Amino acid sequence: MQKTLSPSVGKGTIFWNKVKTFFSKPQNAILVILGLVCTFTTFAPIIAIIEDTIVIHPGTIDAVLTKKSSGYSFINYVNLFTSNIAKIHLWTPLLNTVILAVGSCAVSILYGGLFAFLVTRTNLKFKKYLSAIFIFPYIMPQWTLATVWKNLFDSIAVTHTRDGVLAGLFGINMPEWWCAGMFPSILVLGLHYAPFAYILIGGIFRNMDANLEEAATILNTPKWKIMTRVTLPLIKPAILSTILLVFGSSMGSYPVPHFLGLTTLSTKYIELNSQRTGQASILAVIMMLLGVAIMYVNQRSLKSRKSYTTVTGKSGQISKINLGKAGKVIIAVILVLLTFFTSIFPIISFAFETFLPNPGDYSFLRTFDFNNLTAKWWITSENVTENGMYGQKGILFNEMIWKGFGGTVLVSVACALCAGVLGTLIGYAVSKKRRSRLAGYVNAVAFLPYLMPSIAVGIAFFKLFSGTINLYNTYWLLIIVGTVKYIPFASRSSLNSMLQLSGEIEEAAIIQDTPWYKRMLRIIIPIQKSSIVSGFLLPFMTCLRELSLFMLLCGQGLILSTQLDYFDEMGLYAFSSGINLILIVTILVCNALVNKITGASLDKGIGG
Amino acid sequence: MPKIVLTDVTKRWGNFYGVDHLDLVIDDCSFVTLLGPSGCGKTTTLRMIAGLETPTSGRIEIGDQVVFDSEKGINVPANKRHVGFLFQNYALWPNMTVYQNIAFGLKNLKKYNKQEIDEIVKRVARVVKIEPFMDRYPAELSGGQQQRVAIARTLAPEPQVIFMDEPLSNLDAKLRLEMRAELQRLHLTTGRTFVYVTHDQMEAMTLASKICLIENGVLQQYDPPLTVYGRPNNLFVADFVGSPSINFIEAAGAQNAESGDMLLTVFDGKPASFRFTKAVSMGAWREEEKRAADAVAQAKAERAKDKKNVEKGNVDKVFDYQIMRVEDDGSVKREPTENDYVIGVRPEMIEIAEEGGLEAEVYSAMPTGMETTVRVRVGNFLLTGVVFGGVTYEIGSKVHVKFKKEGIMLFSRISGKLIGTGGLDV
Repeated sequence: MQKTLSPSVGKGTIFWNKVKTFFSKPQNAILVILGLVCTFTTFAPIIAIIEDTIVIHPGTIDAVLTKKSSGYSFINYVNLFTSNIAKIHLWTPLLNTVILAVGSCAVSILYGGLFAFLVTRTNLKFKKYLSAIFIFPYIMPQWTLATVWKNLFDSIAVTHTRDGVLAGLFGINMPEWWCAGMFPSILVLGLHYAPFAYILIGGIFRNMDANLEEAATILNTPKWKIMTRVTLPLIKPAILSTILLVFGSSMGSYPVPHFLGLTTLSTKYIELNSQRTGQASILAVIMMLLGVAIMYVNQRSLKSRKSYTTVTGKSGQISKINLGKAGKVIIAVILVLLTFFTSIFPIISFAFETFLPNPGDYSFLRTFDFNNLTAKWWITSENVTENGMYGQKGILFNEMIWKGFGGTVLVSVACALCAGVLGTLIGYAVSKKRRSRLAGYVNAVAFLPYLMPSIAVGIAFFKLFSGTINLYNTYWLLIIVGTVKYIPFASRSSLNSMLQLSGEIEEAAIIQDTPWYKRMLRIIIPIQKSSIVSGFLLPFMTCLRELSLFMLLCGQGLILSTQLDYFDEMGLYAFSSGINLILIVTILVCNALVNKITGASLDKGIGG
Repeated sequence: MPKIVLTDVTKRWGNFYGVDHLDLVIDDCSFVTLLGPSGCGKTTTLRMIAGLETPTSGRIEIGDQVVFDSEKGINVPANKRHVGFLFQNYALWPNMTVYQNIAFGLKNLKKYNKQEIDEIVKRVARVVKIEPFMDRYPAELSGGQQQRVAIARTLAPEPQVIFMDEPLSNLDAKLRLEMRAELQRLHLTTGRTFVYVTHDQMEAMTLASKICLIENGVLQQYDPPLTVYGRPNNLFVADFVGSPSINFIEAAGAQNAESGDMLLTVFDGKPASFRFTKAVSMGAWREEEKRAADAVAQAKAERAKDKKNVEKGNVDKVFDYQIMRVEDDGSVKREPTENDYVIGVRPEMIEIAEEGGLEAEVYSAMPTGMETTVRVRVGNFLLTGVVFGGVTYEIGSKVHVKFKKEGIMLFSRISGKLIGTGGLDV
């Protein structure tokens, strides 16, 4: 280095110049600011919840065991892991959680993957219809299928609740393992997340260079061998991402195991929360650890395979497998029937439930006498103590429900805006500074909440904001939590699309001294419109139907999904079904509207 | 008036040196091409001057403004350097019409009102002949038209310096020739400084007022095109510039002390003599070269003292020239000694004539009408020559070859550097 520093240039000036240069690039400023924010929003709740496991809560088991009313102790760990309650409070739920998560992964990958294969690689009939309808279970609230399952198979004789359609109508009582517990939970969650598998795996099937398979065909490789040696390895990255998404999400699912009577870590947490608060927090920590572990495993296995994570080809002529004249229709009809049950039937079922005079009274289906139906659940506006309304006004006049609806929309819109804007900025800044460590860190930290079970994130924020800053039961809290949890949706979809955008497009504007906001608003956002809209849309849709994340953060009245849970607990199935219906219709209408207006849709941009 | 000065500019990623201690002065109103094979650092250099890339160290001045100085921590962002940049892929904004694309940058300048902007847009559109397409979107234009729009957009704010990053590489051959001529006219009419990156040596030769040839991040030669062609600094430059490529002939021998001629053996034992056009004493030349090499080594050692210094991972090597042979005889290049040379003969320096001292056989002949590229075989060696006019040769016929009396280059084999030019007698 030449020593040509003139004495007037001090070290401070140089440093200051460097700082100024660094921050004159908006992507640097974004990374630093959002890096700090995300570090706080991701780690503060985690630390809060870990602290909660060792702090002594007055009036709970740890206070009783230690005979202290404050301070710190490891008694919760000792008690939870070693005492005679360990099996029912820890090991059984843990085992159930793992089985549930693994099972859901298997179901969703098999069903979604097979569907993706049939739609993209064969000459199946009704592809367009099937492809659209297959996404429905993901759009609908998670518990939809669970409640449908209950509506279908519950019976007084077996589940001791009420008679579902099968029992009430035909007197068929399904065995207990079929009605509740592990089997239906796996099936329901698997079906709910199968669209993930379809979108991710189907995407690769669609873009895969058919030449790869054709090359094998030319070499006279048998079809099954092409499948196992060429095709499957190619879709492996998609399968791994599906596992990542489904495992994390199903592990933290509360409503499905709750409705279907399965004990998992999340349901156990709710059960333990009031009496054994510290121990419940340990369960939450375990869930987080599982989430981080699955991410780690996933990254390890992806790293060595990176080379073909983006297989795209130009060859548009994918050789379609011929299912035969009858085959292509028969399989299609089977799929139409299946998707009818997973996608259309729930809507009909919910609608129907709201017209039953009493829960489980399916006499209409036997008699087809319209006197056996009633609109009272919708239109009753007075005399709420009579007519068996349990003190509630009909849905259309029920202030609480409409207030909840307003709250849900408010939270969803706010979360979508915040998460969408922040996520887009993160995606932009990370794509600009691809190689830098800071960008890698911000990207990872912003993505982390996505992999942690919703309920655990909810718990963590509950711990963080129930102390000195008390935000419990406010929309603020829900919006903050929703934003943190959903930023990954937006940052992923914007990052993926920004990476497609040549840097020159923006540089051409920089050269002409275009200010940053103008570059974003006039060039980058218009070009990436559709994926940025998905970045707003995904948080919005997911937020509308979110329960696991929010249930601990507010009372039952604040938003619709918690009300639904409340009415379900109360046995007012007409109300819970009605709320379900409102949510589903809202989501479908929004999806259709946004799709019409911007061309973006929910099925784009899913996929970590 | 802007004169661009680069002083000791380095850009590295880890231990990979994209640009290695580059010093360069680009004069005002000149048309400089940065030439080199792909990945040699020419685009990086251009982007560093424009401010799109940050150098690891060094100093860059545009006009009298220091836009980058690693020691003073100065780094003027690209938007404040007031330069024009023409991108390889044009980087037209797909969401704007041609008119909007051109006008967009002008609106930021604030000094123009709407009417003035309109006038400027129309004027530059006329210059590049795209007036009929003003309302179209980039996707609705052909490659050549998009290129013109990109040029118009670059010209509109009237930058003093215009940088171009392989602007013609996405065009087809015919259009490229056309645009090349237009760029030359443009340079003349606008009177701006053009800095132009290309890997196409023909483009560089035909357009530039000065060629800056870079290889492996190191400046090889910075001279007017004909100097680069006629007196290349080293084997790499000689080989890179010129089409068909230069012929290399390995030679060994020593200088005759009296006449100053080099007495050499070529082609596996044939005697030859090389006469310098401008007398060169080998002893003096070697001393001079040694002094230069020492200076480089010393600078390197100086830098190595700095803790922040990183060893260059992509090590510089003497250019590995290729000798054309009929059959690969499996001979390995032996370690060169002081008395080993390489003779470089441009194809047009080879004459096929009765009185030629070298017996050869026509190996292939490719007449284009304007000239004939003929390849002759001397023993196991091949030489490529160009004969002007529509001459045809019968393949396999015996001919005699001689070399011109000047313009033949003599290189040292150890360093690959040019010793001098002259005539060759075989």
